[in-house]
This record gives sequence, C-alpha cells and structure tokens, in this order.
Amino acid sequence: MGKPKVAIHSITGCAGCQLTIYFIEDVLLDLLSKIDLVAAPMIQEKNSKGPYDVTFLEGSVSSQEDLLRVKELREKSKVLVALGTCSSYGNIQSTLSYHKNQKDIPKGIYKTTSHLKSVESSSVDKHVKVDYYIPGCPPDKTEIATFIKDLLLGKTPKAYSKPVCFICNLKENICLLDVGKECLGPVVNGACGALCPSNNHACTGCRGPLDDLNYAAHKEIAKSKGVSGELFKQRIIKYAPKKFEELVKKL
Amino acid sequence: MGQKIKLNHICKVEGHANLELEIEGSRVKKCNLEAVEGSRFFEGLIIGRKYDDISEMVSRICGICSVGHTVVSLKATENAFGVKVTRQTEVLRELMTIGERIRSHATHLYFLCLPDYAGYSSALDMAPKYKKEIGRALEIVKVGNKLVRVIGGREMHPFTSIVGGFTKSINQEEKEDLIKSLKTILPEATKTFDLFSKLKYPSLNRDREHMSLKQIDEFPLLSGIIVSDKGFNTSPNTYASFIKENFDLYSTSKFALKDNKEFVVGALSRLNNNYKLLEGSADRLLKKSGVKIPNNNPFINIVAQAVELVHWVEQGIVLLEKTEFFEEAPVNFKPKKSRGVATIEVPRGLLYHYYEYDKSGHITKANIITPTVQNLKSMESDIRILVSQILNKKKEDIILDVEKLIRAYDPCFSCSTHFLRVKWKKT
Repeated sequence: MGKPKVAIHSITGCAGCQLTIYFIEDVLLDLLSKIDLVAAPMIQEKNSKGPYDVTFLEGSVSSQEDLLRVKELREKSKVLVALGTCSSYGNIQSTLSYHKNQKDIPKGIYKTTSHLKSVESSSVDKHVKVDYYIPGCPPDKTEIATFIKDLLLGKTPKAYSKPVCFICNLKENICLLDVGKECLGPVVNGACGALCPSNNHACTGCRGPLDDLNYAAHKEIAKSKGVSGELFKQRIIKYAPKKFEELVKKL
Repeated sequence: MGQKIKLNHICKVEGHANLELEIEGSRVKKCNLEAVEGSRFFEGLIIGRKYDDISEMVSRICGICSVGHTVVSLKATENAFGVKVTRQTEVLRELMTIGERIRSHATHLYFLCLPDYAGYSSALDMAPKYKKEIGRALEIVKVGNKLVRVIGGREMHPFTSIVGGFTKSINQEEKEDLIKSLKTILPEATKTFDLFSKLKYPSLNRDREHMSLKQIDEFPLLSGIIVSDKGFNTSPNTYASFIKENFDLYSTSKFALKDNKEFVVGALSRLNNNYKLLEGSADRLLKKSGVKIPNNNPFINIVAQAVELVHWVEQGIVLLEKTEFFEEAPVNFKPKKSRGVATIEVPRGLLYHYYEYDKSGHITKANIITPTVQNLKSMESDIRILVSQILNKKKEDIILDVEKLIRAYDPCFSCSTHFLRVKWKKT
C-alpha cells in the first residue's frame, strides 16, 4: 500500500489548529514522511485538488463559500476529520444565534452586510457527514499525532469519553469547585488532560461536552457558586452551543 | 440557512483572500485584495459578556497571535477598571509575547517566505536538501512555543493570564530551563538573520508612513506612545480620533486609514521608528549587514523580522535572568461603568482593543483593529506599483512577485495567499 494522500484544509477559523499540526516540532518531519501531504494551502504552494484518503478540516461553516467547500471536500475525501472545536462543535462564533441582542447588534455596526455572504456559523457535521472528531481549542498535539499513527496502523482511533474531573482526580489536583471557582470540569470531556485546572484555572469547556453529562447536577453546582440564569447559559454554551442543547434535550 | 445575523466582524483577514487584478495596456486598472474569510462577528459576540470571559473569547480571533489578543484584551479591561497589575505580571506577559514573537517570525520567515526565494513549493519540500535550515526553523519555533506554554499554560490560546494577574507563576526550574532553551537558539537566530539579510529582494521604494509604538528607552512591545516616521505622535487613548475603519464591497475585511491616508504597521515600521533602541547582537548584526534602515521597501519587512528575532531571543534571556518569580494572587479590583483602550505590538503590527463596560462589568461596546486591516490599503497600492513595474515579465513571474510582496507584509491571511487565486484579465 502506498502512502495515504492527506490534505489539511481550512474554512472560517483562526488557523490555530493547522498551526498546532505544524508545531508538532519533534516528530513533524518523521510523521510527514509516512504520509503524502498532497494539500496544505497554509504552508505549500502546490496543492492537489483531490481525491484525498484523509482530510483534516479546520474551521466552522460561516459563509456560503465555506458551505460549498465542505460539500466538495466531503465528496473528495474517504475519511473526513473535524479538527478542532470550530469544526467539531461550531466554537464561539456559533453562539451568535443564542445572543440575546443578536438582532440589534448588526444595525449598530455595519452599514450594509449582504456582501459578507454569511451563513449561521456551525460545525461541519451540520452539513456533511464527519468520520472522526478531534475537538479542542486548540486540539492537543499528542492526540493529533496519535490519531495519525492509528490511521497509519489501520487502527480505528477511539474517542475519549471521561470528564475533566476524572483526570483531575488522577493528577490529585485541588478541586477548583471546592475553592469556589466556577469550573465546568464535571460536564466537559477531559481529553486535554485537565490542562486548565492543572494550571489553577477553571475549565471553560473548550474540548466540548461529555456525551453522558449530568446537566441537572451541574446546574445545581453552578448555582451554589452564584452562577445562574443568563450567565450560566453564556458560560456553558461558549464553545459548543448546539451540542449542549442537543444533549440537554435528550435528558 | 439562517442568514439573519449580519454585523461587523473581526476575523476577516486571516485565512482566505483573493486578488483581483485588471491590467489595461500598461496601466493597472483594478487591484482588489479580497478577504473572503467568513465573518465571525467577535465584536458583537462579546457584548453582554462578563469581563472574565473576554480575553478568552477574543483570543480565538487568531491562532497565530492569540497571545497578542489575550494580552491586549486584558490590558484594555484593566485600563477600564483602573487595575494596576504587579511588575511580575507585566514581565510574564512580556515573556509570553516574546515567545509568540519568536515562533511567529520564525514560522513566517522559514515556512512562508523562504520557499519563494529558494524556488520550492514549501519548506517541507525543502527539508531533504536544506535539512539544517528547516531543522533550525523547527528548533526556534519550539523554543518560542515553549515560552508561551510554560507561562501561558498552552501554546495556542494561553489561559493563565487573567484580569489582574496570573493563575500561576513560573518556578526556578522552569526559569532556568527557559533561559537555557533561549541560549541554545540564540546562535540559530543569528544564522537566521545572516540568511535573510543576504537574500535578494525585489525593490519597491515609495514614500509611506510607518506607524508603531515607541518607548523612551526600550524597543517597544506592550506599551508606549504611537508614533510615525512623519512626525506623528499621540497617546493610544486617542486612537479613534485618527484611525477610521471602512470597508469595500468586494471584501469581508475592513480597512483602516489614518487621517484618510494609508499607512503601514509591522516589523519594518517598528524598526524604522526604533532602530536606535536596539541593543546587543541585533544592533551589531544590523549595523554589520549593511541593510539600510530606515527603509521604504516593504520586502525589507522580512529582514526586520529577522532583526527582531535576534533581539527578542536575547531580551528574553535578559528579562528572565533579572527577574525573581514567585506565586502571587491577582490584584483585587471592582468592575465599574467605564471605557478602556489598549494598544500593543503584535508580530504583524499595532493591535487596538477598545471596550465599554456597564457597572456590573459586562461589555456594552467593543472595537478591535487588527494589523492586517491597517496594512490592507498600502498592500493594494504596493501591488499596483509592483505590477506596473514588471508588466513585461511572464504572467507566472508577475504572480510570483505579487505573492512574494503580499507575504512580505505577513498578513494574517498568509495561509490563503498560498493559494491566492489571481483573476487575470489583460486587455
């Protein structure tokens, strides 16, 4: 079998996820020597238009052009990987439709907006099927490297499903909820290795929610920290509004 | 599809851009640089949010300069609430910013610029033949990243710095390790300057206004007044009186003008306005190289970045060595109805954040002006001039030169200038 043809593409986002791949400094060249990086417009001039064996896609669908591109990339890719929280869950920009002033804001700022050709910001899987997700804002380098290695070995990469609290317990971190901080650890996926709480900062949820989250219990916890109503909503939906909504509805 | 929300957006440049050129005879009839990045409306998204959400959210505007957005945001909020942070907090933020400057410049120099001059599609393609250079680039990037990670908690979107201070400091072991790492790459940074100061750059001289911060006794980073080489000088607080943002219907990016005229920000502007404040190796190397500063050629921005790379690696060492770090709690403060502005130098130039808060500490208004927005009109003018100078060249060569020029500015849509689509119309 030849080397897999891999593409790294982006739609509307911050380029941080792509950079995270290029910043896997120690094993980057080694990793890249095992694949055929046929398209990576951020760092190379000559890029194949497809087909691809694997496409890593960064960014959220936020414009009409993005929408066309995700459909096209889906057709051209055997495996489509949502890289990062924009691509997996829509990220911060997708909270706009939950903003209480969403209708009033535009009028105050832009004289005309039709040329922006916007669509409601969303995750990629709102529009096309996604095979794998590597969320995180940004995703973890090691997780990306492991994912690529798994694919090369023909293993099915496994999704992580333990909360941030689980990792904090393993690391014997001081529980930030216990010291009065507003931590989302109980309801958020801990694939990051509980990075923020390990640095004395509350988890704010950038890795996205746990599938089996106990929403009701967390709401009570937050309330006991003085966080409720609009503030609670703002905090919990920050990175993955649609996903949270979907999971809470299911409960 | 919900198309109900249209408002000002901020991350309009980094990512995807097109260029539309129309040439009529020997005249460039049309030159439109079109940002086609989708709109994320950050300035609107943060309205109604509490002060402790803001730096985290705006950091997501840009991965490449997420430290910059985080730090300027915290400073704007602190200025609004009248918070005076400790010297240690200032130093940690400076170091984090230096880390970002190092990795951003090294990435731009080696990964985005060098392949053009070496005749390759990418730095990765260069790796087999130029193993030393690409290895050097990765080493420098790694140390820059490490500085951001050790202080900021992670390399992208750092989170340990909050309004009033940090959630954690660094310990003696980390400090010594960072000094050692920076010392390891100092010779590599010097070699980088040697390499980039000797490349042959196209010539494109024209009169222009270079804007940057200026401090009395140090090369500027996170504070200072705003100056230009045309004698302009003012406090960042007055930014709204001279910088105006506007937009073209062909682009999702806004552009900024100063008193209705275009201007330039970035490494070359900083160097032109502050070269006398360089110290140590950077100063020596620049003088020895024969590179003329001040300089009006936008391609020399690449050399200016290499100068800054050496300067900041060395200053990072100095700053770490002279500081004793210890754990301290963020300073106490009370939110109040207020407004605050902050301006800092990020890799690509001046970055402004302006916020208005209500009495409970929720944002009621925000304005963010990024460097690429400030450079956009100057880029278009330069492209026009460059193209008119090289009309007799082959189409592919004209395109390559234009791409080189755009990359020399290091716009935040560097990513997309690498698949710049030139709509070619020649009559």
